[in-house]
Amino acid sequence: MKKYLLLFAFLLVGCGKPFDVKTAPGFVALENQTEHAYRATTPEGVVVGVRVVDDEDRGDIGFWTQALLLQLRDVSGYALLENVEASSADGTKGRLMKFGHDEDGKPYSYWVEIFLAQKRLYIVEAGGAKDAFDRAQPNVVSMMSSVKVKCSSAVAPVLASRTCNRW
Amino acid sequence: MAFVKRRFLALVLVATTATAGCGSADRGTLEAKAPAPAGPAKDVAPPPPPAPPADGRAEAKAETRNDENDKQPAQPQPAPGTPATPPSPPSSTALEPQREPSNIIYTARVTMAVYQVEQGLEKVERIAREQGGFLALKHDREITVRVPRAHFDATLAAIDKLGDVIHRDVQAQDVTDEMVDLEIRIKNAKSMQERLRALLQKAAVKEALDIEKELARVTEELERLEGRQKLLRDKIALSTITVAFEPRGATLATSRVRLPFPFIQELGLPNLLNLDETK
Repeated sequence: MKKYLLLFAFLLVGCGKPFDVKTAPGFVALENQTEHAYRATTPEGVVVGVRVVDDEDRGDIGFWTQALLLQLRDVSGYALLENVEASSADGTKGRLMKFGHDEDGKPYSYWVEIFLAQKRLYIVEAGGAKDAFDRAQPNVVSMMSSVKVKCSSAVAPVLASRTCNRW
Repeated sequence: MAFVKRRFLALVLVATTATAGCGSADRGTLEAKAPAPAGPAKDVAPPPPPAPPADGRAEAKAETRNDENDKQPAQPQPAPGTPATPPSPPSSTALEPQREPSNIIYTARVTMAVYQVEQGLEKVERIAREQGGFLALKHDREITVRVPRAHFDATLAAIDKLGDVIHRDVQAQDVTDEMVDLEIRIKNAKSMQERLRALLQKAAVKEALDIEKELARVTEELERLEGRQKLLRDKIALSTITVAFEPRGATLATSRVRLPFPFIQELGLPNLLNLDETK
């Protein structure tokens, strides 16, 4: 019995990634990612990625929203098209910012969604050439809304730590 | 003969001194005249309809002065497009110069996010034409248009709706003092020109050479002053608006605090779209 418990605890701590995302049809998940914890692409180059910043609970959503806006809008010149409240699949409140930016003279779409959970900052990105992005948008939305950043199992309150969030 | 020559030379000397000193004349003793309705410069673009002068009084949005010698305090200035209000009556002291309320050059620079730049440039040009203005300059990511002063605010408001405005810089430069100064200098130069011409008619051949030399100098100076006056009137009549589709990264780099979160700098399309699996 002790052995099984140890194995269970090991699996909770050491396996999987600290979030869940469902790869939508038409996307293929990429391997060996370093900057991103997860990244998937369509053949046309529409990409959805998830970054996880560990041990980052210093700022609230307002702080990170403002920091991202300053960097992307003011410094990098991205046009802010929409800035709305977002919600992850597990009900965690976050922020979704939709940007537009020209790359090599062509318009591109770039969406950033942020969530704070379990002492981590989750950054969900989606981007691509505007035409291709518009075509893939339903699947992009589906993937972004499938992201879970918090364990919703019955044991979550008991194991309310980062060990819970492994998929 | 020698006496006549000396008299001519003395007259020329006196006239020259008078011209040189006219610029520093006490403005308080001279009455400023309102400049004639301004027209666009011939060498800039097709002539748009002249702008109706704004005669209302309101607070200017911003004011910068180029004339370093101008020590007078800033006066309330009219903003373009403001409702008409009669100008305040002249002060009781008749010797005080009248403030010409419409001698203000409006310029604006709008920095917009880099998105759908080509369409944005076309739209800015179209807005300028709709407002009675014209294209002055166009680059890959930047456009300068000129619009009648009365349409300055409306044009800016229309441009604001085009996209994400990151920064806007509006300046109202009061050139009243320079206009008054130019008016006086031109008046004096013209009267000097008249006097020299009168002298020339009476002068002997040898003296005529000196007078003609002086006349050429005064004429040249007069043309320079009138050119400057024309340029200022053009700038007053037509406001200049520059729209640049560019990030503010370069200008912010020196002033902005760098946050200790390197992942923020890594966000953006280039990193997301680089599909290297072994990265």
